[in-house]
Amino acid sequence: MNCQDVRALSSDYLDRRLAPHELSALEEHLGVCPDCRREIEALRTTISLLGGLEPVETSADFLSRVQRKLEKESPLNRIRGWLLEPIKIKVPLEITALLLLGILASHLYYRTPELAKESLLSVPPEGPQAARDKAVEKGREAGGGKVYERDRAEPKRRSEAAEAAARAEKSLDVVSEAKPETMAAGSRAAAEEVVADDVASYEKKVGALLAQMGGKILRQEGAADSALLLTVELPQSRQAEFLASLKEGMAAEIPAPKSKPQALQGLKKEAEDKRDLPAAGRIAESRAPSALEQSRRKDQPMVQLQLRILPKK
Amino acid sequence: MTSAQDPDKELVQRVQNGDRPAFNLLVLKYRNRVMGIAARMLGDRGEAEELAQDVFVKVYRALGDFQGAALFSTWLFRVTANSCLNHRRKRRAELRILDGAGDAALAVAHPSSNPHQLLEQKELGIALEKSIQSLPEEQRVVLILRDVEGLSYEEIADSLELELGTVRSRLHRARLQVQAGIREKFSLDGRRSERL
Repeated sequence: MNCQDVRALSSDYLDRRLAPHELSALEEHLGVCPDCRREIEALRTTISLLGGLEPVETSADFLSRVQRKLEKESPLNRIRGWLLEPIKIKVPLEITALLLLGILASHLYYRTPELAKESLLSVPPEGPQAARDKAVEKGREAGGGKVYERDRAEPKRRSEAAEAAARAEKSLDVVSEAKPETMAAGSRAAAEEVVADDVASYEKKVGALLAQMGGKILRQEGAADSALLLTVELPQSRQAEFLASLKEGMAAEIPAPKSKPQALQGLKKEAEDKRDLPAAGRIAESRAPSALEQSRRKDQPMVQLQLRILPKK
Repeated sequence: MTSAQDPDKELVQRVQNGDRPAFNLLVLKYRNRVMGIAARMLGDRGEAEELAQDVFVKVYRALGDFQGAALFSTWLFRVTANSCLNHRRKRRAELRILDGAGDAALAVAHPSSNPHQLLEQKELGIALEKSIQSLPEEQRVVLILRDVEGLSYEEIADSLELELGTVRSRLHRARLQVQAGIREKFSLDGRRSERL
């Protein structure tokens, strides 16, 4: 062990923290090295001087001042201290608070009929099943799956959903009824076309036929001696009969339609299948509808059609 | 010494059960040691006193969570040391030297009746305090806890959450620096330990 090693171990030597082999080697060196002995003694003195420093005493009223500071711990300060707890305590507290809030919100949602009803009424009109599915899905989001079971347990809520959807469907009907112009525009593209020797007389025949069926000509466009576009209205239940009459009673004059909507084709087929359709000879037999028929027609839904009468060339 | 042998265990438990007078006993027992650490760490007696009071307030507030994994005194000194380091960092104070008439009282506790000895003791005390204050913080706190307050290496390691080897190396460097600081004026050869 050399002088440098001894100086490095001097503190441990004075604090008696050397291993036995280190201690013996160091003391062996000290026995032959007066400089290292001096250094060791100087360090021992320094340590003794430090240990001899008198303790610094507090003021006489130290305790009472500590007590006053403790008394000053107002409720506000205590809350502040609680909020400033270490993060490992605060985070679980916050998570617990969030969970409690979620449970409370869910509880309020299902215990407050107005909230639940409002939610169900806001379901878009997609049919009863879709409405119910959406309501259940919405409930799941709010209540973490419990709602599905609740939905099963309370069919009343289902019927509410169904009612909401039905209301929505009805509102769609109202919308379409309120826009006849749109309907007419749609059927104008697929107008029935007939070729007549005399456009004017053909128009009269059509008018008579419609009157028999409880319908009428709403509008006519064009001149009587040229092509004529008629917009007619008749009960929906007589539509097939009207079209069949046109075909059967004026077969020579009615060409195959260029284009017809599928619905019209379906109705025509249905008319063909029916044996009780009025014969062509009866078309001219105009008869006034009875009061009962009139009242029935009054309540019947009407349909508008377009008929284009082309002069034969 | 393990926490099971903590001499303050009973007092601590009484405080945890709401016994305020038991806490007063702890304050009276440790106030001067806390004050000594604070005064030599901060270099200002007034600030040290305020800080020492705040340390006891913090300890009282946190004592409910004290599990006894360490000695109460070790925990108390840890709180004190951390409070001092935080305080110094906050104020970013320039080095404050404990000199002059007021702070000389830190070192001179038992004045000699001999005027020459009195002067030497006073000057030596001031030189020691200056040397302590000139140490880097991490060395100073180790030196104060070991050579002024008398904690063991293990207690210091626990208090400052350091490895034992770190405590040894910091302590040794601190002692050598203090020795060099006072050696300029005083002969240290063969001097006996005595109260300054």
